[in-house]
Amino acid sequence: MIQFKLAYHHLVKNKNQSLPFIFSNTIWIAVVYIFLAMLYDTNLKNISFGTIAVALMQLGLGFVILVSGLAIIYAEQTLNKQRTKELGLYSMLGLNKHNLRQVIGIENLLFYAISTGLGLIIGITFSKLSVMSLRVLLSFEHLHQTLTIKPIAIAAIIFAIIFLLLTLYDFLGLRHINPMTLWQKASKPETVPKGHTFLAITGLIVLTIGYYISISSRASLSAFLQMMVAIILVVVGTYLIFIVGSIVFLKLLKQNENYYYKPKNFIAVANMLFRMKQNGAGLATISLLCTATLVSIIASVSLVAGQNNLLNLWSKRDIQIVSTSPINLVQNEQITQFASKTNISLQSHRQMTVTTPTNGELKNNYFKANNSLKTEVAISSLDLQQYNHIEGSHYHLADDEILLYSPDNTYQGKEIIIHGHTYKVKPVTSFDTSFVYNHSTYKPIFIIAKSQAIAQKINPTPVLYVTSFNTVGTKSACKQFGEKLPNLLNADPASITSRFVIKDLFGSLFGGFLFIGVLIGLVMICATAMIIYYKQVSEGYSDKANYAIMRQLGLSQQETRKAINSQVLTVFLLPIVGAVINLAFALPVLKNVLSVFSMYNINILIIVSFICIALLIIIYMLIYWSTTVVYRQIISS
Amino acid sequence: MSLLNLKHIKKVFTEGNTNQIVALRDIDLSVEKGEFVAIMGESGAGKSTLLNIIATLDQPTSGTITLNQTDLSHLSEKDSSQFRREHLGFVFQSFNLLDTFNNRDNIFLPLVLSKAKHEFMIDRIKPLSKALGIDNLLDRQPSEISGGQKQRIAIARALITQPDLLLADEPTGALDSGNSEKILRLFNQINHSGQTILMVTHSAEAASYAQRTLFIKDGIIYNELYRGDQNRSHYLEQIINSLAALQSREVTSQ
Repeated sequence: MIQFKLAYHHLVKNKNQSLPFIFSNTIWIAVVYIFLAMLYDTNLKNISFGTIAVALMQLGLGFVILVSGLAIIYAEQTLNKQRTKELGLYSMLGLNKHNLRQVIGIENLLFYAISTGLGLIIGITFSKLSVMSLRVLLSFEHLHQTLTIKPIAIAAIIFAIIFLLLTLYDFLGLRHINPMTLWQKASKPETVPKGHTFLAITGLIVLTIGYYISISSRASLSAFLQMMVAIILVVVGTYLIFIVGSIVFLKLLKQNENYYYKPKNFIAVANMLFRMKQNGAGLATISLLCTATLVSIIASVSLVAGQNNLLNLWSKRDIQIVSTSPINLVQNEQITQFASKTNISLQSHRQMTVTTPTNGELKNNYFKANNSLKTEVAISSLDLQQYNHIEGSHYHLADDEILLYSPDNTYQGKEIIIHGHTYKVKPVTSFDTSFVYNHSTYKPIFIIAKSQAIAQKINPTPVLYVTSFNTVGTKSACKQFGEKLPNLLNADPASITSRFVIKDLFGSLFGGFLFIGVLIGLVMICATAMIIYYKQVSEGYSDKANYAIMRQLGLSQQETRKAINSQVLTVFLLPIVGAVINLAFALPVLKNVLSVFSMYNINILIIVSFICIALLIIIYMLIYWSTTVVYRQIISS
Repeated sequence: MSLLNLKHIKKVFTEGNTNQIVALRDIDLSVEKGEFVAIMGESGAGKSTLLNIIATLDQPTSGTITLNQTDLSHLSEKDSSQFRREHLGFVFQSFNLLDTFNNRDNIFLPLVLSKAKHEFMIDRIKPLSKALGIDNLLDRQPSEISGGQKQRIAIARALITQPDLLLADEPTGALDSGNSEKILRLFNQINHSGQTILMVTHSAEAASYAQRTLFIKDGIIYNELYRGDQNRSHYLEQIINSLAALQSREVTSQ
């Protein structure tokens, strides 16, 4: 069949363009497969907090599908330029539009088949290898992976749809076009998109709405859809802003005659303007991938870094028992006996009574009790005498004064209004026997009032008895003691907190998140590298002829190098700047997600963010530097 | 002293380890300032090699070449690039306009590479675009104009640096006869204003516009024809006869 031959011939003949295209498609398919494999081929669902992990993975999957779809459509436009020329020739030689459609269809089918085949092989290999190596590196044994057909099939279907849309788009481009225009279209520069002011404003609005949703929504499973919408809006907005923004930026550079008519800038700006939409789209893709890398790594590393914080929040004592009735003498005897049996001694025994925490929200220093999506704090109260005793402090309070303990000092208000009464707040930073009732994710706030009566007025709930002590002995003995204690006392496990037990639990839990985060981060940074590589290679081949002409006219090797550097450096930082801005708006979401894990310390998040951004910039520069070498080799070969 | 001097130029290409191809055997050639010289010859006669050597894109195996007393046979890559853009102008068969620039910037390119001031470029392009009749083309893209128009832009690009020597490689090879004639008349016009031109061509018609025609065969200059005071059609006849003689000698020598 002649159409097949033509399609195949075109693919092979233009291997300078078709190979990088196949290459980038392969990367996208591999990335999507890796996400699908994590969702369907692992026991992710069954590990602790698995539902949240699955939801986050689904968000990530939605993100990569969207970005890969857009990136593939843009990459194909470059390819199309060359193809349009050939199609013009075929059309002059007598192929009708139906035949041309067949050629396009077959060629896209070939692209799809090759890319999907390669992508799946790479995806399967990469996910197997990375799961194996990360399991060893992070000593995380809880995650298991199998190989099933489901993620393979889903990945194949997703990309079949993307390629189908692509083909329809190509068909649309064929209409109203005669052989001559097909023939000429190939060497035309890209034009400024119609209504680009409108597009820029649309982009800004879309991005702002996306940012707004992400800032205002609270992290919970019910916000899943909202988050997905936010991601879609941010992705679309980023693309629009980068495409229109980079065009405006380049046009401004061109208008500045003193800048533009310099040897290195002249060539660089003209090259970028020639393929301005593609240039902007490429930068947007890179920026989004960088954002994804940052978000996944920062979130998981913050969780791990905040692990000790959470541990201290749950219990600063080795053992803490929260009960509705005081520990009786029999139980006390049981505890002491069990302690000597497991070869540990008990120290600094403490007891206090507090009111049962009331859930609610704090808004403008006003506490409102509720149990809804808006709930974020759990307030309980005790009297000053107990607090001074536990802390060894000497505070004095008036009737309308209170001490307030919040984790990491997160309550900033000067006063607090509860049940219509206003109290002056004196923040305190230490409370040795603070605890999280039932290990809920609400932020625990302790109010210390002058007397028991006022404490009851502030939070009129039955009292809870909190007994705590430290254990001295070998680590394993202490852990064993903590594990067995609930059984011994016949109590709810959530009411007895053992630091030793919790520490191990957190280790595996956050290890799992670190594992997933590092995996996604790794996939994203690899994809970033590959996309930058793709950009440089495809641009290298399209610029090659021009540089050859300029060498004839008197451009030396050294000047060529300068022009290339300028071309790379002018827009080099834009994706990183974009990624950091995106990250800034993602941080509130991250903070919310982390608060699901009772992590309220924003400092950790910020420090981790800065370290990650610095690392990303270094890696990014290395990628750019090495791919620029490739670009230069293509130009001067 | 002539503007361009080639003495005993020899160029040998080595293919593999042993197989040597002699492209130019022994070329002696000089071009005076203000001359319009055409070089003719069959494909493979060594025309392109000769042009590349004069254009400093290639270096001779032996022999000397000087332009304005500058020795061109041993220039470094950097020096030859600079030399090309300051002293030479190029017009190619396939125009070689850059589709990334509009026509104006295509013309500016050599000046930009030489770090000229923008005001200077504007001063230079004004009379040039008027003389070449390309005023209304400057803001358009190369992809939007015809072949003849493209070649005019290319000529403007070659002339904007006011080069010592304009090198033209088959400048009418991709043009129809009407446009070819216009371009060659333009060459005459440029030449009359003092520009030295060296043109390589297949076409006797094109060569007939020159003052002198050199015939290259098998790496040496076989014959030389001066136009003198003859009119163009007479000179063209002479060139055609000369070419025929060159070919018949080939037949007899075999």
